[in-house]
Amino acid sequence: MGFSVSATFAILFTATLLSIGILYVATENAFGYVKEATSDYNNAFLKAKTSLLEGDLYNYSTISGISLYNITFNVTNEGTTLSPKEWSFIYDGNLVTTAGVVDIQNESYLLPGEVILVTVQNVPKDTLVHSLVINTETGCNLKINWEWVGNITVGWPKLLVSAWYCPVEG
Amino acid sequence: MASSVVSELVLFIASLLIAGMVAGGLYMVTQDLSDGITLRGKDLAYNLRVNFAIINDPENIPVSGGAYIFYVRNIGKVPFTFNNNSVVVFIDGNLIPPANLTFTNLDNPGSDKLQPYDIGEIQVVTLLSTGYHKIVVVLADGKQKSLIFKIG
Repeated sequence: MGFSVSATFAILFTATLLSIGILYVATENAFGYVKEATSDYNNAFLKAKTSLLEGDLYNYSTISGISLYNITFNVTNEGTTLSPKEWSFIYDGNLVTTAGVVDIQNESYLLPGEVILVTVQNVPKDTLVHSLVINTETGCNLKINWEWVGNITVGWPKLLVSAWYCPVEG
Repeated sequence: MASSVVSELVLFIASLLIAGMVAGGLYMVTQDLSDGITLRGKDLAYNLRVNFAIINDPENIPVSGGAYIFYVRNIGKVPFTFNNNSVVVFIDGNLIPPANLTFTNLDNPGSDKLQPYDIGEIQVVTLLSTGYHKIVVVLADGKQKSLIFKIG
């Protein structure tokens, strides 16, 4: 009888230890996954919070009598390091999917304080307000509005506004 | 004397069997709990890594064939499903029926998974008056983003 009790206790005790071990490993793994993901989330949040671009008119080129012009903006990084290769562009509301509409300098990174040139090509010399939205990898955007002042023969582009904004939840 | 040994043996085997069954049950319950904890951890980690943005110019929403076009970009670390079974769209608080939504993966045509940095397009067939509106896009995991835009 005494031996039965000892054997039973030994089996149950071992099973309990094993169960605690299994639960501990599972909890530690789950905690590891969540901790790593939380770190990624915090990094992404911090990067979005500390990113800031400023746009300004740099140059334009056109030929008198031709109804199109190219306009170049200098985009200054006033925040954290960004990756221009991951940026996308929305010109006059439409996503730019073809080459030759918006040109950007071939840089992998834009360090704090650095400037990159972005050129919009073949903009019509009309009276409409044109817009370029530069969407960065953080989801935040730089929007630049400008218009052509003058006519086809004589005129120049005028920067109207440059705004920085980030996506909101809900 | 012999019957006492037999009964002791029977008791011993019975107690071992019962202990084994209890241990087996404990193992199964523990394994279930362990799987649940791991799955929950992975789900939570995935949800933390999912992120997206509506990247339209809020003052200039393109229209094509009567449908307003909204661009959605994956700015998270993991892909998410991008189709009318898993993404819900509200405009001004009204649910847009899935039949009025067309999803296109612009960077990987044909795929309904939007990979990190990829851009997808949602065509929304609806009537919008001139003025300000709000679109809310909700993913399958509940993550949602909104954009206030202007028509006209």
